[in-house]
Amino acid sequence: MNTTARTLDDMIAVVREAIERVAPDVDAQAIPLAAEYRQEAELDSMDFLALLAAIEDRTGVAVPELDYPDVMTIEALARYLVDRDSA
Amino acid sequence: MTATIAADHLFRMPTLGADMDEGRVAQWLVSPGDAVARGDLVAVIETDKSDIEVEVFEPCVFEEFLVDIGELVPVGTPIARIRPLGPESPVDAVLVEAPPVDAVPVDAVRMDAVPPVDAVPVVDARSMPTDRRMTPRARRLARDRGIDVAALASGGPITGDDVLRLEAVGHVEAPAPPPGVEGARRRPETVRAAIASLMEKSWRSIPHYHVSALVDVTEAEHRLAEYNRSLPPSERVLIGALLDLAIARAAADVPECNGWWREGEFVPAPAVDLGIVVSLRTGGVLVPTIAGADQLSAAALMGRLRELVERARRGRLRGSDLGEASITVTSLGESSARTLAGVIHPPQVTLVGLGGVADEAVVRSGEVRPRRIVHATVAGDHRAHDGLSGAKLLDRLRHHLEDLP
Repeated sequence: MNTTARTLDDMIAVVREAIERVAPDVDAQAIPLAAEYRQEAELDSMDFLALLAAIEDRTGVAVPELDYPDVMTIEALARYLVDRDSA
Repeated sequence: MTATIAADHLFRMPTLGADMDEGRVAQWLVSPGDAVARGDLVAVIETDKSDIEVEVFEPCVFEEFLVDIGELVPVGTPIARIRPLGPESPVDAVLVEAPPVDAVPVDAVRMDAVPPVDAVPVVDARSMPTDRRMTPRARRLARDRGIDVAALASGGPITGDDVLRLEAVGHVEAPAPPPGVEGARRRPETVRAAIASLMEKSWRSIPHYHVSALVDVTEAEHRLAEYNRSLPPSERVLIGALLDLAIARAAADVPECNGWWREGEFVPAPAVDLGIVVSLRTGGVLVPTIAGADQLSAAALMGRLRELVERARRGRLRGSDLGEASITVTSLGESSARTLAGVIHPPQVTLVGLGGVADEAVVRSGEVRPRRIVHATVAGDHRAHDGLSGAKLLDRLRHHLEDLP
C-alpha cells in the first residue's frame, strides 16, 4: 500500500501512535522499546485486538495469532512490521 | 428502559438503567428544526455512571429544547418539544420510546450514525461554556487528571494534546460549579458510588449461594485458533466471547436462573439478555447488555462485545446498550486470579464469574495431562433457585462450549 518501505523508526512511531489510540490515557513515548507494552499500557485481549486492527489500518499488515509471541515489545512489533512492509 | 414520551409531543429525560433517577443533557446532537429518522442519535445524556447517546425510535422534528445544557433534571422531565413525522405516526402515539428489551434487534444500533471519534464535539457540563468543543480524548484527560480547561484560549476544538500541555504548565483551579449543578462531578467517584449502592442493596437483600466448576477450554482454544487463522484482527473472536455465548445458551436451558426477583417471587425472563461487566481504564465498571445473546453466532456476539467495550471505555454507551439484563457475566480476563465468586446485580437472580484461563494438571483416563482451564462460579439468589440449578447451569455451559465457535 505504500511505495517506499518504512524504516524501523517509522514503525516504532506507528506502534506508539496505535497504542495511544487504543489507550488514550497512556503516554506511549514513555514505554521503553524493549518492555512488554501490553503490561505497561494495561491492554487486555480486546484492547490488543484493537491495537492490531489499528496497525493493520496504517500498515496493511495483519499480525496472525501464531505470531503474537514475536510481537510483544514495541521494538519486536516494529521490526516485524518493517520485515512485512518491504516484502 | 421505559417509555419516555407520549401524546404531548415532548421528548423526556429517558431512564437509562434501573438505577437512574436524574440526568442532564451534556450535548444535543441535533439542532432545533432538524428532522430525524428512527435510530438517529439525538442527544448525549450524562448520568452518574457515564455519558449515553440516546436514539429516537420514531421519525420526528425537534422543535425546541426545554432544558439547559448541564441542567440536572429528574427522569421524565420534558427536555425537548418535538413534532411527529410520517403518516404512520398517529398523533397520540408513543413517539419516542425505548423498545422492550426483547424487541431490540441486535443490529438496531446504527453504526453509520456514529461520527468519527475525534469529530464529536463534546461539551463538559461541569465547567465549560456551552459553545466550547473538546475532543473525547481531551475531555477524558481533563476529567481524569482534574484539569480545568477554561484557561485555554478559544479557537478550534480542544484536543488531548492541549490538555496535556496545560497540565505540564500547571493548571488553574477549577471554578466553583454554577448554582444548581450540584457537586462538580468527577466521574470515577460517581461510578464508584453507583456500584456501591447496587452492591450494598444486593448483599443486604439477596441470600447468595456460590457453586463452582472447572471448564476445560483446551479444545475450544484449538478450534478458535483455527477459526481465527485467516481472519484480520478486527474479525477475530476471543475465548471470552465463546464463554459468554455458552453462558447465554446455558441460561436458556436453565430458566430458573434467567430472570428477576420481584415483589417476593421469581419472574422468568422472556429472553436471555446478557449483562456484561466491562471494566474501565479509569477504574470502576459499566454493565451494558447484549439482548437475545443466546441466539447469536460467535462472530455476532464478539461484534457486539467489541462495540460495547469500545463505547463503554469511550464513555459513550447508547440507550439501546443499556436494556435490562436477565443474567450477568463478569470476567477477570487474562488475570492470573482464578476464581471470581461474584455479587448478583438485583433484581437479577444469577451472576456467573469467570477467572483467568491457565494451564492446570488434570486427570483424564487415569493420566495427568496439562489442560487449559477456566474456573466458572455461579452466584445464585437462594430465594429463586438452589445450588443444583447453579450446577446445572455450569454443566450446560460446558456442553455448549463444545459446539463453539
